[in-house]
Amino acid sequence: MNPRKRFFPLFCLLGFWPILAALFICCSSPAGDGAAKPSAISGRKTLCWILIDFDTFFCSPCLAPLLEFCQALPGPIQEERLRGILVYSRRSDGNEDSRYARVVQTKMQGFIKANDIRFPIVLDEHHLFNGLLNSNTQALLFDDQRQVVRKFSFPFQPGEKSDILNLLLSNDGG
Amino acid sequence: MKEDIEMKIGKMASISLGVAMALLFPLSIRAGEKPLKVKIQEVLSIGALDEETLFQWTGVASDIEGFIYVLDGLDYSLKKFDAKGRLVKKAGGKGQGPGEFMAPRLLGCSENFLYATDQGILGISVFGKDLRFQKRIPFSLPISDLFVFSDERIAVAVIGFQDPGRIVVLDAEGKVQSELVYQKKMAGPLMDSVSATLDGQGDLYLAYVFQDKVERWDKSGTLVWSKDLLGVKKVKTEKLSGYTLPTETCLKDICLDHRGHIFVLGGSRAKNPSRDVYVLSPAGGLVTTLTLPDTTHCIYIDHQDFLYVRANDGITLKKYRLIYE
Repeated sequence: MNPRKRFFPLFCLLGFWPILAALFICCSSPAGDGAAKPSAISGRKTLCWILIDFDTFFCSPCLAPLLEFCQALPGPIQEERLRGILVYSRRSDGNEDSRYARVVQTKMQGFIKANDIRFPIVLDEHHLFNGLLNSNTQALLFDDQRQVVRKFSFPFQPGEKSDILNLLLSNDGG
Repeated sequence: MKEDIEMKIGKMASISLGVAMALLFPLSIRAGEKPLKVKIQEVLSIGALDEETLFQWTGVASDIEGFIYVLDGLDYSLKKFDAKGRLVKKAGGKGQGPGEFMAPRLLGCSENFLYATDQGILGISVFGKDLRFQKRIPFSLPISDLFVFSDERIAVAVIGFQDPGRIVVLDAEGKVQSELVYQKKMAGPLMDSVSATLDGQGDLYLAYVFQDKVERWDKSGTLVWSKDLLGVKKVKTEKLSGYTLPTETCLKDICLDHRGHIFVLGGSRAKNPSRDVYVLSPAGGLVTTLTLPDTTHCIYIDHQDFLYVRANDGITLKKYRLIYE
């Protein structure tokens, strides 16, 4: 097997944790005087990125835990605290991969409308997060209280869902 | 002497001719099933990339007025299109209530009603042609295929997990009218799953999803013929949750045209997976193979012999005219 192919997922994994951590630190810093216009994710607020496995669109039982989690959050909290990244498998042919990206994008629109998803979801068109997914939808929680990034897999273990919801619902900036 | 030689030559010629005819005669009988080429010509395309018409259509049916009905699994809906592909109405929504869907799958059509199955909800939902929910026909087993005879009679192929495969005929209230057990002994969990269709005489045609087998049964329940198409002895299986389950498909769907030809869609073991359509004669002989431009999960032929298939991974519904040569 091509060593590049073998180690590419590891590069992604190792490369992106520092990026995510840096992003968290930037987002957690209070905006100072004369700072740029605050974005939707500025301020001391616990954030949750959801890496959604595209294959779960076609498996109702697989999708259920994610949808239950989303529906447990009021719409404004979803809009403010959740961000989705739709991850799908790369196609071997470059042209086919471009076409397939449009397929995934179209299906994503249907999924968002049909399930009343309120938070923005972007397509992982360059397959940056494939290595993190491990065939399960994942939640990356930027825990502002503990200043750490935590990763959870769907379906959650007992207690995890309520922990995450409590953090997202109770944290109100500072 | 010259006459003897001539007689011997004549005799040899006669014998040779007789042998040749004996060899060729069976071929000429088979050739009595006239060689046939089937081509397709696109006449309609519904849904496209970057549009929001269809997202993951699963079931299709059309009626004699030319309306096309489609189940969409990604937005949990039933949609009605006119003959030009314009959306007329949309119904459904996510849920388990009346007229709602969790995972809509199969669609059938009678003169006045539409029948929809759902992988997440047992039973068969009945809608009017205006897409208004009418009722749910109770049925407690998972369904692998659906065939609609009339407003009062439908047939379902039952997915066999612990019992051998069978076709069950129901009335409009869900009462069992008759049953055909097509496998005496169960081949394994799911292995007896079939796609089924019936002809005008009531003969049943089965295409096995996980076995390389197409069968024709007459209405008295007698097997008429059984054929294999792919040369597959056994599909790959995998152990999951204590069950040994198939992980490859042989034949995904079956339907008939009005000339009596049987169309069978090949699965993952076909030469062109999910694109090869095998066209058989009523006697079960393979007359030709048609390869579709895109993969599809099902094939459907309407009352005017138009073929409906999937494209763009379920975002598009294609309607083709069948051209016989």
